[in-house]
Amino acid sequence: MMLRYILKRVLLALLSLFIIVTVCFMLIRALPMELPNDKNLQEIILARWEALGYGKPLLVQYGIYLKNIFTAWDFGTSWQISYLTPAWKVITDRLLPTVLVNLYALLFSVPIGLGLGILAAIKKNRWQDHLISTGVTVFVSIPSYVYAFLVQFVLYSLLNAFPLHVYSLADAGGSYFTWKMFYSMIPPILALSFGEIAGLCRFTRAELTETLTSEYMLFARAKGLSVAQATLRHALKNAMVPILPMIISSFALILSGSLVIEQIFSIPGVGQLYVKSINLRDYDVFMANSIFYTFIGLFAGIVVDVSYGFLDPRIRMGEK
Amino acid sequence: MRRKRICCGLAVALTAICTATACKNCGVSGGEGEYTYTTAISSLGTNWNPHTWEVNADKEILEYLTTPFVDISIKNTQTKEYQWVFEMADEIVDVTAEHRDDLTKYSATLPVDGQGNALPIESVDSGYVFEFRLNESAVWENGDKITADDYIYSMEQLLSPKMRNYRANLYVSGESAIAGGKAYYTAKEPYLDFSQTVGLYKVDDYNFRYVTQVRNEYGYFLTSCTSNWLVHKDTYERGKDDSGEFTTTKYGTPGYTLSYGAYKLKSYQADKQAVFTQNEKWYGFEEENGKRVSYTDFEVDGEKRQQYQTTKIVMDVMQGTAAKQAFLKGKLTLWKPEADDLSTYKTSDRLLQADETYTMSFFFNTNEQTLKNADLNKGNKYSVVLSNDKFRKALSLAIDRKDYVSATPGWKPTYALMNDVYYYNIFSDPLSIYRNIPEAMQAICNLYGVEYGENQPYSTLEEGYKSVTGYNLTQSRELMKGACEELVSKGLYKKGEEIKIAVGWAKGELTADDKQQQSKLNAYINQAAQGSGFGKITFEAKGNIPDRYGDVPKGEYAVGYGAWGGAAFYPFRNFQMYFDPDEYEINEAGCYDPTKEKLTLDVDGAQVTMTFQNWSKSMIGSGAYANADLDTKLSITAQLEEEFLGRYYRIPVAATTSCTLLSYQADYYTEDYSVMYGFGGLRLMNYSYDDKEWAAYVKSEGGTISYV
Repeated sequence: MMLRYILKRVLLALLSLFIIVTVCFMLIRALPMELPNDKNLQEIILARWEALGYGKPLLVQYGIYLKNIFTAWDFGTSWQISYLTPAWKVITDRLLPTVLVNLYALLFSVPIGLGLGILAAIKKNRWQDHLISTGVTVFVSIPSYVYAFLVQFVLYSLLNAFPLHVYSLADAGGSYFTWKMFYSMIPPILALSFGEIAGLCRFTRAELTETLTSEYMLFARAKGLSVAQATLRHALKNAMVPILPMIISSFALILSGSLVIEQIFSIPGVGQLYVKSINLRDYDVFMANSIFYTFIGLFAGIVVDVSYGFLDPRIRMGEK
Repeated sequence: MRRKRICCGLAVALTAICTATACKNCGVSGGEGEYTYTTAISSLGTNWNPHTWEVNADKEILEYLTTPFVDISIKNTQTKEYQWVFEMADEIVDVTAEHRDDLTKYSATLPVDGQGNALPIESVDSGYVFEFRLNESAVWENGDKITADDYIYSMEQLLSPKMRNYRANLYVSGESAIAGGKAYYTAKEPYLDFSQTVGLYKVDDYNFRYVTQVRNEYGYFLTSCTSNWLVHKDTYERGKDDSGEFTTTKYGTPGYTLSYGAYKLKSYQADKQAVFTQNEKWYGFEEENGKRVSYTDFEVDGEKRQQYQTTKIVMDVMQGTAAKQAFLKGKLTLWKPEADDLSTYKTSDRLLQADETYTMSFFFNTNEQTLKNADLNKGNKYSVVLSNDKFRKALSLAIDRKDYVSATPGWKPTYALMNDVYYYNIFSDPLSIYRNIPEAMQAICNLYGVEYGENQPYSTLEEGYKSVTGYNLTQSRELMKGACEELVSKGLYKKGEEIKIAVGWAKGELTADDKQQQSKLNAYINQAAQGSGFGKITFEAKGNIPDRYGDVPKGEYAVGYGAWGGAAFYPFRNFQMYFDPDEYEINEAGCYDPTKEKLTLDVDGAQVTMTFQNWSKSMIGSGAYANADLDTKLSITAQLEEEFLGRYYRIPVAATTSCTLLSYQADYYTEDYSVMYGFGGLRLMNYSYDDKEWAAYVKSEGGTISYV
């Protein structure tokens, strides 16, 4: 039954993907072209556009686009962002820095967020809880680009302890996996982590507080378990049912970059591609980006839903 | 106890990591004897193929990797004289008289006389056939020789109808268009034979001839030789792809780049950084004490100077605020402050101001019916008042331009289409500024009603011209009254009613400067309208307008605000933007039809009538006055400028400047900008500190340098 449920979700996801891709294709091509005032240049640009097939009816263009994907796995070519590079490669070339920064940020924030959440729940209504909750409120309310500027100002301008930007490959020794590169990534990792830590901490505290006041916890204590034993063996395990999918979805979404963070720390990642491709009318990059991220989003949704069933066999969706 | 120990341990470890790694490498990348020029760029170029580059960021990379046929450099900083410096060509010679038959062979367009009749070919002795005698020392960075064949191959690719190259426009149109270029480029299958069609042919290994489509003055032709179409054949072919609707090449992208300029590409990371180092194969470099040095083979202020002292160029992608932080920490050689920062640094001795050719103007749609529709549908109230000439003239005279430009540091007041950076005889007279000729000064005096001579406030034309402010409140008020009466009598306006007009102000968000300018504009117009019968007048600046230049003629906006510039070396060409819809989208197309509306001018004592468009065409290419003497052309230019501005379809208000803050590490040769040679460019840039000394200096200043 679970397999049937997954299959159904996959089919629905594919349908959603098709609808979103179709809408994106029509919308981006409906944007007005920006032509220079110089008529000679206009003529040249229009001739190129015509040769690229942009003058054909939209449905014909869409048909050709889909045909190229299904028959040749060809997602088109970038004409602006990365001249004559396959659109798919434009994305994959930029994925690594985005994934690394997001992954480091997640690996940094998950244990801290969970730890602080557990501490706040256990020390509920004591000074530790108040301190953590106040911090959480502050960090949840402030947008990440504010921390980003703050982190940059403190660590670079004030302390001169970290570089202004993530290093280029040339400056970092030619690889993303050097200590120097990691070191230069610390400021954006911190900027990305504050919000994640705060969100996770708040959620963990709320879930754990609820389970800590459950009757089975009283029973666990009554049968002779210590507070720590009861919390770890029973409360935390139950509280993790909604928390773990949240962490899983965060992992699934590490592929998506943050436009603002990437701009502030000059990370050559995928976060800026979307806006850039729209502004420059780099159609194929925009479409490849749309397909990729729609797929990631839908996939993450399925993984999260399915994970509930594995974490708690009582919530097997699709079962009657 | 144990917990405390763990906490202490963690704190010590963290401190140790921070101390050990504390940003040792985020300083200047070079060391002793190295001079790094680092710039911030918001978006890195992606395509530096000379045949397909599109934006300035592409061109910036291209310029480091190439050398033009001829360059312009400083001769005398006191007099602002410049000189032509031959680089990839040792010489470019006009050989038209000896090779007239090329005009026929490549179907060049013969010049015409005043009546529009083509002159006989025997009378043509200059301006068509130019022989390029190449610099034989020039080689590619891999050591390959550069010969005439390479130039012929490169042009054939550039104009290839199968490639539809973006930059073919430079050679199929304009004064320097190559003969037969357009026919070859636009041909459908079967394609034409390049060698038989296009006027570019080899003489010997290091000589080729270039035949222009229309007659071209030698000096102006040289300006088109300040760029180069050369590509490396093997690399170009290696990057080719014939599988699509048209042929493409990856030439000018990472992995497909070869330099013949003073610098070569060392590394490139998309959206991040490009690094260039000196090209040891560049003909200008020589070894001196183990270092690569170069000296000019021409004199600058009477001496030969060291050139290209910069050993490394780094272009880093970063945004505005980050660039500012980096500059103040000594990590950038220069930084372009935003308008808000400019007020902080406006008195800095390191601030360099470069006058641009751009003139900011208000331009209108004066069509009565369009304006009435805009009042009904576009949220305007009585924008129809703009159809009245007196109203627009009153608006022009109401603007106190000196006060208006104070809203944007660096801007200068301006009163005409062309400012002080347009030169009319760049090859023979390095001081030939169009704005300084009597006809041009007279045009401005006439336009703003300034009189001079006996019993006048100013005794000479020059004095009168220099007194022009464009501001005359008394006259503006009179005109306002007249305009109001005319509009009321025509039933277009009711006395005392509020007037509200949206202005297509900017492509992006409105800046603080824009808002200040808007409020000044409203203050001026309402001051002028006092007692005239007009109610409150409000111009509402609108930002985020992607195509305000097109929106005004279409009637989306009654007024637009923007700048036109260019053609600084040939002012006679400048009217195309206002008069010739064959060449440009005309911003004032909602005011008049330049292809039909006629204008009579005095040409050497004779009254000549032509359409605005034909006047524009008359002074370029094979136009009726393209071959006239300079005095005639200058006189026509000045009259055209006066006549056009006198219609108030466009009101010039300010000349823009580009402001740059230069680090103490480096100096341009001069701080006195010239549109011909800039500040001397990277060629003559010299350094007060090498990278190591500079890092030490920054440290001694506490890590942050003050430029206030």
